[in-house]
Amino acid sequence: MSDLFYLLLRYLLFYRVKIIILSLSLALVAAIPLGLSIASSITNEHLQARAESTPLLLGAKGSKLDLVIAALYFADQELPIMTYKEIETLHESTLTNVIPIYRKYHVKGSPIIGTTPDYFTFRKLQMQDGRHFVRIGECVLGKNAAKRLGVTVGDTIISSPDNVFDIAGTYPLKMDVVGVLKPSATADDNAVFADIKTSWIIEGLAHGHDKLENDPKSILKREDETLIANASLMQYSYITSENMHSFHFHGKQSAFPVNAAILLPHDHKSKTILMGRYMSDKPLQMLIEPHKVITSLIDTIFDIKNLALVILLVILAATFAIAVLVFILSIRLRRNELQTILKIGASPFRVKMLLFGEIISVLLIASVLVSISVLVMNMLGDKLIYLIL
Amino acid sequence: MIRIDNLHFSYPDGNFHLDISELSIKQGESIAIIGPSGSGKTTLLNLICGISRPQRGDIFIDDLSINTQSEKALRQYRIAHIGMVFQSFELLEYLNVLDNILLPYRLDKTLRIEKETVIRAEDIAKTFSMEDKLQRYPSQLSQGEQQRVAIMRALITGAKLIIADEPTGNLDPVNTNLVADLLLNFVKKEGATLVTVTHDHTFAKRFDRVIDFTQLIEGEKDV
Repeated sequence: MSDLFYLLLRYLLFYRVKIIILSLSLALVAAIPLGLSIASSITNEHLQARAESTPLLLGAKGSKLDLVIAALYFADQELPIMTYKEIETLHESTLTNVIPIYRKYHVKGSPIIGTTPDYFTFRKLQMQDGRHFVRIGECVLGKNAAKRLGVTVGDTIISSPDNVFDIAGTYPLKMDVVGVLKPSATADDNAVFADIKTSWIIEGLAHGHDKLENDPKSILKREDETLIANASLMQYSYITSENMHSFHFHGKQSAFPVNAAILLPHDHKSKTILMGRYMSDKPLQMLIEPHKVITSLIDTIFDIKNLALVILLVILAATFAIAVLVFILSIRLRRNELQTILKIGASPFRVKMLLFGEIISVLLIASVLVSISVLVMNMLGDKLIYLIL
Repeated sequence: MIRIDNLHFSYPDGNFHLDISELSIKQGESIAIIGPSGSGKTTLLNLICGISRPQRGDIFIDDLSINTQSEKALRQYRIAHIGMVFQSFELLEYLNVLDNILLPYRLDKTLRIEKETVIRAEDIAKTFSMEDKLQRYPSQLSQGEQQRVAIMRALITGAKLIIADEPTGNLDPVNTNLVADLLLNFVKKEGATLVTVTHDHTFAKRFDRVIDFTQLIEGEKDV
């Protein structure tokens, strides 16, 4: 048998390019549906886990799916605005804890999530370095965001401007990085977390500046007790302990914007009351159960996946047909060689083994490649998928 | 060495038949068989080797009746005792020269490659001036060199009967002379019997005996 293996090995090595191309083609066509299946189940798990851990999600009326993927997975999706009054009302209702989310700005592509420290407790996010934000102008970064932005605790980051051509638009805010979170394999790893008030400052709803009394040139006019500044007044773009107290909001907080709020009802009854309230009395808002939205999304993805699998199976069949054709042509090309071997004195069994050896080797190499890809997908798929998500 | 009595062979379609009443070839003799294409020369070689079986008559090699042997016994006999050379060389292009020479040893479990086998292959290669090309592949050789490798493959087992089917058919005159010299000299030195089919009358004249196949099948043996 060793002689047979030797001949087979020499054949495989000599025609290695053909063997590799054939094996790779078969492996690829077989691995794609398997990989797709694994990736799909990992994605489903990821999506479901985060959705199921979020009991209720409040947002302005619109697409439920947009609300979920923007508020839960921080996808770059523009959401309609609701006012902070909704959050205050819910606080006052004593039916639920409320965690506001304002996701509009970003730092070089990493979304800035304006929220409250309760968010970290709710998501069970732990600090790797530093501490949580305690005042406006401070931020905490997810592990990937810190790595991507190349910053660590003690550094500063600057929010990206809304529109670089709009000089009257929102100004970038320099923020202190006070903490970096431990990796959680969720969308939180890619985010920049700040107090929701910090987000409003970026929005231009609050600002800080020197006392006008100290700078008479910046006074435009006086109205009773109020001083109105002219355009020469310099506003702070970096909040420090020294200038923090000069920051003030214009307007009522209840009118300030939020995109969404995570609701943590105290009990099932509270949840039912809230659901009922938002179904009937609130025409401008919607309260949804994220897991239902995600289940519906997954069902749609499942249908698309099934269609893709059918297409891939057809491709697989076509590839196998081509492979069979290649083998048949190979046998034809080897006819003289095989007849010579038979004439010299080899048994027909040996000749068949040589032929089948080529086919079995290709299938074996393809199987090994498929197994490796499935193994890699099972081992690293989790990380790959969450990086994509 | 070889004795043929009352041989009758025909293909299943009945389009061709071969009848030889008597033919004897002595041990160590070199025979050239000449004759027109399609007259059955190659068929005769196949019958002698046991690749084809006659419907009637006997073929003896060293008193061994070829017709009565089982397929397996015939194959083992052929691989160990008969060396075969083909017109189009039929080298395995994925094996280097040394592996091509040693091929018969890899086709049957009764033959084993020992250290002496490799030394013999190297010695034969030296005789055929191919010792520096043992690691080359057939595609890297000239036609003359390829045929030399095919002859070395036929000689490696020390076979006492060499069957060659137009061994110079694909060679130019220079290579024909070279291959003829090497083949005839080596066979003579080894004391082996050589049965060759050829269309080359100049080449045929160098053999101990020339058999005109047309006359052979009509009952006259030698020319």
